[in-house]
Amino acid sequence: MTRRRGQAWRGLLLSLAVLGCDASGTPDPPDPADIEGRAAPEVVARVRGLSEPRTGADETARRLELAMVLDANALTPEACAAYEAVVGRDPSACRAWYHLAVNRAALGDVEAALAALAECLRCAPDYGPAHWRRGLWLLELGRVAEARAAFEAAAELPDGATGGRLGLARVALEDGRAADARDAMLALLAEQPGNRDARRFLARAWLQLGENEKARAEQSRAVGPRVLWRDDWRAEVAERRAGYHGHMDAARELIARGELEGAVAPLEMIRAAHPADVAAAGMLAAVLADAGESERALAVLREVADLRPDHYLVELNLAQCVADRGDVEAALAHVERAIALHPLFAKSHLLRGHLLVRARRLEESTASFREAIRLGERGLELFVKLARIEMDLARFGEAAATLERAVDLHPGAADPLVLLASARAELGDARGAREAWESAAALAPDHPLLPVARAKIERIDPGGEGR
Amino acid sequence: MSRRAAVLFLAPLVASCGTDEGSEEAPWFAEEARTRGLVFQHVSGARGEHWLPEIMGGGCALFDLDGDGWLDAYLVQSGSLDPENPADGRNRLFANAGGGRFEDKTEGSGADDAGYGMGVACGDVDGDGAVDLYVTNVGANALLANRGGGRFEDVTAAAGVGDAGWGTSAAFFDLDLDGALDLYVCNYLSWTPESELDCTNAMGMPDYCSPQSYKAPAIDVLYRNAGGGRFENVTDESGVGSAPGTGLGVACADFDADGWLDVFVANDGMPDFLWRNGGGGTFEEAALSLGCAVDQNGFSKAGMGVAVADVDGDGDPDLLVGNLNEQSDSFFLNENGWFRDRTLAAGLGSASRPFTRFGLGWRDFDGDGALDLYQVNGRVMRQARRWSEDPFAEPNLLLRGVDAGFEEVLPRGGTALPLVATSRGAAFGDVDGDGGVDVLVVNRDGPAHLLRNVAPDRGAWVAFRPVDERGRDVLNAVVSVTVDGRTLVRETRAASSYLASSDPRVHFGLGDAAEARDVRVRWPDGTTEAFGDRAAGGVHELKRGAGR
Repeated sequence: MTRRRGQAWRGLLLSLAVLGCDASGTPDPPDPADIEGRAAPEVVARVRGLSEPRTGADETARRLELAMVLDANALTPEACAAYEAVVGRDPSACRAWYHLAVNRAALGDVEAALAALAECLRCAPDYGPAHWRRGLWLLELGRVAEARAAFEAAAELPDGATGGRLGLARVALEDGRAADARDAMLALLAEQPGNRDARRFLARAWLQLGENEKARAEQSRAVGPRVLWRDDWRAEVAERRAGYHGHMDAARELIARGELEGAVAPLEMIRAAHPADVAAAGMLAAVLADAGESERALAVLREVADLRPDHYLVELNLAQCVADRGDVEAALAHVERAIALHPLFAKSHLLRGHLLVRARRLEESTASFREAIRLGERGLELFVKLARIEMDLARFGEAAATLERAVDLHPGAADPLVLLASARAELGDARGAREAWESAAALAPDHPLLPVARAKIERIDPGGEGR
Repeated sequence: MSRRAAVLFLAPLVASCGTDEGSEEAPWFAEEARTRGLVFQHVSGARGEHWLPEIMGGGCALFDLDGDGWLDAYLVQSGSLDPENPADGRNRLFANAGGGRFEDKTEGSGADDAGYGMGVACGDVDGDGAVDLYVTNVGANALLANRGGGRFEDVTAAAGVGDAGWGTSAAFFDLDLDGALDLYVCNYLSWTPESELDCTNAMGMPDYCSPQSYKAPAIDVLYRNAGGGRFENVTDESGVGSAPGTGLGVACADFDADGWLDVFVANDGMPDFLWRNGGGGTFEEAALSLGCAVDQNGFSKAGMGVAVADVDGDGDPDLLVGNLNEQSDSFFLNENGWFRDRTLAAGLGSASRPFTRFGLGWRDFDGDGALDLYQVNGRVMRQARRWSEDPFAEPNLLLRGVDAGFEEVLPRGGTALPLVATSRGAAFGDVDGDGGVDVLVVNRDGPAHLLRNVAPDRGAWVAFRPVDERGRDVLNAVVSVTVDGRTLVRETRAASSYLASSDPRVHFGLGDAAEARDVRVRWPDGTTEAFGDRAAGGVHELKRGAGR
């Protein structure tokens, strides 16, 4: 078959896919038996409950609910078929078209996703996320000009504005218009300083402009989980997650709202289904401890320790738990055992360092912190804490080295620069101290430690003659 | 579930989502492993406990074991991590008896390392002209010195290269241009069976964890060849020890054209590394500054396999990283030592995203002068969409090089019927000497595939083997030729893809041309030689000092 003929066939098949899977255009939803054994029992039960038509009920609404449950629980092909069943019955079901598009894209068929999205936009032209999703998919297909138009449309809508602006910056990066992307992201960050996507795009823009240091600084500030662009319709789907992830979502949302006691119930449900899951037990214990129920937290960890007696993570969580209760020596015993079980786990060395500081064993703590860094810990607070201890121990050379590494890894942070100025001053390096001080002052002119560092510099180089 | 039931079960899914239709042409490959004597069944040792290494192996190599010009094969077996449930974890050596007919020569060869195997790197580490093998394992790695006559000797202890981490891809390269091959070894995670976690997939079922769950990246290892069969571990003093990662793929090239070979490492779920060789034995991690640590969105992807080649014909090495499904490939175009992510512009966005790509390679499979791309795929977690009874299996991808980038060739994967497997290592080379580049693939818990190149209307070809004054293969020699007024550049490289080592000889598709004109070699030390014109249809040795 030639390529051109193939494309024609593809178009025909795609249009059939949009219409549905059988001749009537109203395909049957999937059989719940098909997901038995592949999905969690809670999910299967919900699917089964939604699979039978009910007298007097809104049939389209039932089918949409079924599709959303399948969708939320990553049963993507089944969700795809179920949404097709919905739009086959009711071609004006905008949300079903939208979710069908998202599921088709998840399966890799971007062309078919765009076809479904076109149907959605026909009945819901003002739904902003539909426009930026269209932009993203067009961009993936290399149709940059159309993507730009889609993002521009999104940017005009209240619920699509941020996604649209981010998308336009992404298009600018693709086009090599880095200055445009930079300006757009600087403007967005002025309004939304916590938008990590904007920081990432800004970092890419700086990189394309040859501003490597600025790029590194932005990239280091952007560390964190991926931001989900606001999409209310997809949020409705996510609410239907069941089983492990449903409980975990619920717990995380409650924790984020500060409702720790509320988070205990969903975590307990996870633990009931997965009693040997050390990570889930650790999370439950942490929530209980934060909620002031350290006794219960300890009990949870001891129960999981019975099931997984030689697991480093159980020992580490026990160490944290007993440390929170004030028993540093017992905590150290647990953390030493964690290290013996898994010597290359950085977080064990990190906790050991913190515990040793509490035990005033500062010399030993520096070795633990250094080992944590060697094994991959890169947090700014760790470097600053280590450097402060090294300075307290009058090891200014080591402190300067620690802080130089921190500056390299966190180029936008002022704390290590201020301390570096002090450490270098203590080493008699007036020029280096002033350089660090000036860099710090440029980043944070009101930093409370700047006067302290300046006084140290003045002490070794009054008036700055050594510059 | 029976095979028939599986087909019935799958059919509606494919029909309802409409992803697999499209134009088809004559197959480019025929799967002929068994008929050619290459019978290898990978064993992961999986018993339902979801120990992460079970889903990551195994590797393979195409190399010339005995210097007869025919590519032999080495296949890395995993086995079992559970001493109470042992499995045969011995790697297998297959000799090419000529014409791509293989015979299992493992017994008595000494090449049957029995560690829980991951990958293999090939190179002549002792300068005796025979290609040696470095096998990476979950646990101590092994250096197997080729003693000739199809026999290998385990010299790991004497050489000092038995790193005990979870080794994945490894690469021999000459870091200090002293003529002796040094060794870079990727380590994936600090992992033991005791440190394993319980993880749940998106459908709420027990499954393999993502590497991020362990929060235990590992430090790669750099060995400098000290001569006399010994290596020095220079990980810390070189700077390579300064950044733990989750390394799965590795390739070496002089990316910044400063005369020193650099090392690119694909990390899984972390920013990738580009260890820029500063000369004097030191390396600086510069991927972020050079534009190849994260994608155009600023995100770290789950990097697995790596391909390196001059795709845009400007003479410098470009990069491709295969990533997890729902993440497209990362195609980093080298622009004078600085990389731009051109994945979408090259047509690799939507084509790659549905699959989890491991082994991959840029080769000119149809001989038209443009590099094509082969990717072997297989998931690391279960998903609702299933391609076969194996919940991790996926079809492979073949993409044709076109002016604007790449476009998928159908039938999918280039075979008459798609090969659906959980594919991992892929090595590239012409095993039957017909001028078409073939592909050797290891499939997790499945038989290895040998994809013999049967591309229709394949163009003319020529291949080159750059060797030093003593006739030994030279890695990272850059060969250029002129074809129909266009300059094509290829580099001798064994280590790339995933857990694999390919034929280092360079292969050029010539289209309708009868010869490659103005053949030149830039040796790793920067000196260049011209070798004139060479006729199509053969492998030409380019001996250092014999050119102009």
